[in-house]
Amino acid sequence: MVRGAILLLVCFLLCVSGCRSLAPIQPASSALHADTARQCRAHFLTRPRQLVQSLTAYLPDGGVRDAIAVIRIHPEAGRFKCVIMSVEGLVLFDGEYDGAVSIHRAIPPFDEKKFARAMFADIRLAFISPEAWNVEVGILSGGTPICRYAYSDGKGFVEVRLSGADCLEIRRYTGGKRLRETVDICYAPACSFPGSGGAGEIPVKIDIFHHGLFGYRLELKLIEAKELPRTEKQEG
Amino acid sequence: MKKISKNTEYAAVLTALLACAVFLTGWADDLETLKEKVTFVESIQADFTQEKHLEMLEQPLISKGELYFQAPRSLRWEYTQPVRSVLLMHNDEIRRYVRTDSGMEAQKSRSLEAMRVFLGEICMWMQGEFDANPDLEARMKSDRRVVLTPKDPAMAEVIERIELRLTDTPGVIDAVSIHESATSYTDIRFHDTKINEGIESTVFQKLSHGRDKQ
Repeated sequence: MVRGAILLLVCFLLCVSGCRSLAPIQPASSALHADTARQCRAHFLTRPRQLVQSLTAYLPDGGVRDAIAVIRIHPEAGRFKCVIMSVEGLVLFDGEYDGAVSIHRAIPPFDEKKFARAMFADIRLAFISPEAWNVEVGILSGGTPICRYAYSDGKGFVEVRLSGADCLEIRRYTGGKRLRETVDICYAPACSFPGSGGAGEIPVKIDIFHHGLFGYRLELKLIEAKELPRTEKQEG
Repeated sequence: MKKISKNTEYAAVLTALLACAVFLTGWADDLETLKEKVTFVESIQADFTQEKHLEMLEQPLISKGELYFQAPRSLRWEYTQPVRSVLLMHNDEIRRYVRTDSGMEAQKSRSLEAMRVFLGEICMWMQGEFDANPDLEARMKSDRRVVLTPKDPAMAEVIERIELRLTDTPGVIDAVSIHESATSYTDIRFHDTKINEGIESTVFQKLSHGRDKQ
């Protein structure tokens, strides 16, 4: 009886979290279409960057953890390097992605490749333009301009919703059109640490929401950003 | 993301508390003399600047904060920049506050409970007994440095060694270096150090207190 009730509850929750679908996109005027496509592209990095960000994790059990992340992004090569350290300076994770995940140093549970893969997927979603075979551009029923990227391998969709002057929202859906992640991105100085101003073309605040039964949220606030040379050698 | 492990919590607190503990180490020729020198210290307060050096950072990441210690086992280790984070220890109670959207939020006590195991060792350090911990080898160097080296290979993979640079004033140190590897280390430099000036107990019990600088 109890097992049956739990099963029903799980099915209900799975349905609630999984029965979403893609919102219809209405055509935009040619001027709005071009401007929306430009703004969607403009968010994603085209030049190598190094970012130092504070990281606050809101975990499924209600717990909160803080850390500092140093991230190197080479968008043209799809290559990332990331160091996560405690506020006290202890390195918890040091790894990179260059077609495959490499972990140079990690303290459990950060030594699991599952964690590294999820983290690099988050970085890719937030900063790298999707490799899509089709991009649909238009407006949602509420008037929000949107670019919807369909992955060429049929594995899902990524949406960029231009929800405000200084902010946008990225959504990733599975091939079954189930919402997996939402990334709220804010460029406004008001989102940054008091007095730090903001960093222009780099978001000052990024909120990554992983949906589902064991969903969690990662909040990243920019501490500093630096452009890297394009010709930088591959890091070991 | 998985929960940060208890070991990670231990290591982070260990780092902060060790840096505090070394304040009690005045200049001495050997570890035995060093123990005798610390008995007069009742309380310490200081500001600190922390530099995190990483191979991928051209310039170190700089954090700033404040330290308060009251013998025998009360501590406040607070980062004020760039991310505020507060660790409080008073008697047997430990609390850590993290910055969130809604302000400073206490971490769940469940995740902090395991730190209690380490307190016994930390208290030994507070008494200047650096060689009392069987997991750390303590050596007094001639240039006023104490070098602590983990004996356990598993711990050595996390922290290679810790160097404490002493001043010529008993009870005051200049800096602590925590080496994780050849290219990753943390330097903590203390300044404006005050000894035995008295600290209200609320400093160790409440997030906000009368000495707040912000």
